[in-house]
Amino acid sequence: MSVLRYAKYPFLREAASFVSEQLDLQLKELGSEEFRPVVRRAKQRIMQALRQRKVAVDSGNLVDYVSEVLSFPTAVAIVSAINDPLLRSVYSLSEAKAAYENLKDEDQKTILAISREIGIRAKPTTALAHSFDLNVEDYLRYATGFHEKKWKLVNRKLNRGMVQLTQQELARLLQEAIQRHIYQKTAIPLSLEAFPETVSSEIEELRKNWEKIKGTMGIKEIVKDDETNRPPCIRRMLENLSKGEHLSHSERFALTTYLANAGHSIEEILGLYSSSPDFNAAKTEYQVRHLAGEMGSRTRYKPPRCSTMKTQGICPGGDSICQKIRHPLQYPAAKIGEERRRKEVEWQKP
Amino acid sequence: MNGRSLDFLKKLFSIYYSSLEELWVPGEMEKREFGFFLGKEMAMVRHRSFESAEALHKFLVQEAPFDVYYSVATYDNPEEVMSQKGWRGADIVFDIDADHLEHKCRDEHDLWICRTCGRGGVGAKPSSCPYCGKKEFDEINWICDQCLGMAKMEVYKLVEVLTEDFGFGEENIEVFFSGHRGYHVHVKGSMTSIDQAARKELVDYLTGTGIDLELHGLSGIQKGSKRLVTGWGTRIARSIYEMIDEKGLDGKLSEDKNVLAKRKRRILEELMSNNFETLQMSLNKRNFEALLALAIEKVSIKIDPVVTTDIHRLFRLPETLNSKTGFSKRRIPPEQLASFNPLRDAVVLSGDPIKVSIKCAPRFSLSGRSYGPYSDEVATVPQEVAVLLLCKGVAECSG
Repeated sequence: MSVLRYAKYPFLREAASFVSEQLDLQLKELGSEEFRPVVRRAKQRIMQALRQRKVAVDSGNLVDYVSEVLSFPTAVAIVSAINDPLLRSVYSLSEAKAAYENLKDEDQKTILAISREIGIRAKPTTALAHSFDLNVEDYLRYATGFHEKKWKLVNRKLNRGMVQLTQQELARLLQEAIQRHIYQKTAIPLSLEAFPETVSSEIEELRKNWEKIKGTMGIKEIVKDDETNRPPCIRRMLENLSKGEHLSHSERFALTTYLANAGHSIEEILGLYSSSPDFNAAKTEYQVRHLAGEMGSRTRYKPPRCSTMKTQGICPGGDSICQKIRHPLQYPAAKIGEERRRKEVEWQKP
Repeated sequence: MNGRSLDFLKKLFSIYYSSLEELWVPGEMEKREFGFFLGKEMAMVRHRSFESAEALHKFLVQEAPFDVYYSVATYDNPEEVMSQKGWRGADIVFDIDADHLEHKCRDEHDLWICRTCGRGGVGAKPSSCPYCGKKEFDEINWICDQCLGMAKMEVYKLVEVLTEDFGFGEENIEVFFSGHRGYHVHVKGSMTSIDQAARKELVDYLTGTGIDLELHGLSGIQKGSKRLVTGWGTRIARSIYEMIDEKGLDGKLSEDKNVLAKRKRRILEELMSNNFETLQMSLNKRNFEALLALAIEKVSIKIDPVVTTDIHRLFRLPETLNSKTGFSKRRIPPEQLASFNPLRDAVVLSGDPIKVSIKCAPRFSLSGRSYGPYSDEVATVPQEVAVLLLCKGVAECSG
C-alpha cells in the first residue's frame, strides 16, 4: 500500500506499522519542533469532528503525507486522554465518515482489502459490476444500527448466507465498522502527564472546548406520562387491561417498564394492574419492583424499542408521531413538540 | 395436583432418568446455566452448573425434576447472578408452538375447568360455570395430530430458509419435538456471537416483519421494470402460483375471476421467473395487494419471536421429560421427520393400566389408540395415558 492510502485510511494496521517503522514516535517527543505539524493536524482532526462532525481528509491536496498519517494516532492518544465516551463516539464517527467519502468511489481491490482488515467477509458478486456479496453474520453485526427499510435483512437479497450490496452500501457498512474500530482504539488509559507540557496544555484547551460543545448537545428529557401523551401501543395495553383482557408476557414487560421509566410510582402501576383478570397482588408487586430496579439486580429495565415491539407483534401500528421516533419513551416529548409546532403555524396564519 | 399424584409422577420420572443410557448434553456444558422445576407450582431452581454429563445425570436421577432447562448461552461464570455471569455467546434456537398457529381443532380439544367445583368442558370457557355458577376457570390446551402437523409444516419451512437463504449446513440444524405443543430447532455453532438486535433481524426475515414489497420489486411495478430475484420474492411467487394453479382463488377476487382464467397459463409461466406483470394487470389494485398479503402470510414462518431474540434463554434439555405431558423432548433425525409422530414417538412412560379419576378430557389418541371423551368419571387407563391426564391437571390418582 502507498503512503497516499495510509493518509486516506490511517486507522489501518499497515498504516500503524508504517508509522512505527518510519518514525519511532513517542508521546514525549511530540513537543519537539519537528512534530509541530503533527500536533497541529491532530488538534484540527478533533476540532473538525466537534464542529463539522466529519474529519476533512483531502488526500489529493496533501503535501506532508507523513504528518497526515502521524496525526491520526496522535489524535487517538489525545481523545483517549480526555477520556469521555461521548467525545470518543463523536470523534470515531467523524473519522469513519471521512473514510466513507473515499471508500464509496474506491477501486474494488482496495475496498476488499480494507473489508478484510476490518474483519468483514466480502467478495465481488459474480456477473454484476460494483456489487458485493457479504457474509450475513458480518452484515447483521453492523447493519442493525441503520433505520432505513432497505437495510432490514428481510428486504435484502440473501442467498446461501450472503447478502448482496452495492459498493456504496458496502462503504456505508464499512463506515459503521470503522467507527466501532476507532471507538475501541480511543480507550487507551493515558494521563496528561504522558504528554510533553506544551501539548498537555493544548489538550486542556481542547477539553474545555469540548465541554462547551457538549453542553449544547442537550440530551432530551423524558416527559412524565399521562393520558394525553401516551403512544398507541401503551394506550392499547391499558385499554385492554381496563377491559379485563389478558396481556401477554411481552406486553406486561413493555407496559410496566414504560410506566416506571415515564415517571409513575410503583403504587400507581400496581393500581393499574389490579383490574387484571388474574391479578395476584404479591406476585405483581414483586415483578413490578423488580422491573423498576428496586429489587434483584437493581437495574431499571427500559421498555423495548419500537422495532422490537414490532417483532414481538405488540405494536398496533403507529400514528404520525411514531414515524419520528424509535423508542416509545420518546413519544411524549415528540407529541408536545408537534403540538407546539402546530400552534405556531396556526398563530402565523393571517 | 394431590400428593398421591405428585408422588406417582415423581417416581416415574426418577425411573425414567435412571433407565436413560446416555444423556443429551449441549456443547461446552460446563459453561452453561441449568435450571429445574423440582415440583409442580414451585419456583425454578436456577443458576446451577454441571461439569459433566455424568454429574447432571446423577442429579436428574436423585431429584427427578419435573422440567430440565439449559441456557442457550455460555458464560464465564454460569452460577453467578445475571449481571456477573460474563456472557460469551448463545446458540441460535427457534420455537414453533401450535399455540401461535390458527388451528380449528382448538375448539374440539381445548378445555376449561372450573376452579371452584372442578368440573369442566370442551371448547371456549363459558361466562359462568354451568354446574356451580362461579366465574373462575383454568384453561387447558390439548394437542392432536392436526395442530402438531401444522407445527411440523412450519419446521419444514424454517429448515428450508435456514439452509437456502442463510446457508446453514444441514448437519448443523437439529430438530426436536418439544414434548408438548410444537418443535424446537437448534442451529449448532454458527453465529453464536451475534447480539439481540441481529437476532431480531433474523426473526423479522423469517416472519416477514417489516417487508417492503417495493424493495422486492413487487409493488407499483411498471412494465419492464427491474425486479429482484430474492428468497422472499421467489417464495411469494411460488405461493401465488400454487394458489392460482391448484386451489383457485379466494372468493374476494371473484370480480377478476374471468380475466384470471383467461390468462392463467401466461400468469403461471411468468410467476416461474418471479414476474408478476400479467397477474398485476389482471387484478384491480386492491385485489393484487390482498393476494400479496395472503402470500406473505403463507410464506412467513410462525416462530416465537421472543425465544430466538432472548440471548439468555433457558431452553428445555433434549431427551428430558416435559411435565405438561410426560412426553420426552425428542431429537428427530432429518430422515425421520416425515414419519415422526409425536403422539407415539415421544411417549416414553408406557406401563400397566392404573385407575384415575378424571375431571374432564376431550377425545384424543395416544400411541395409536383412542381415549375419551371423559367427564367427571373414574377410568382405568394405560400408564402413559394416566401420566398425560395427570400432567395436564385434569385427573388425579384414584384409590
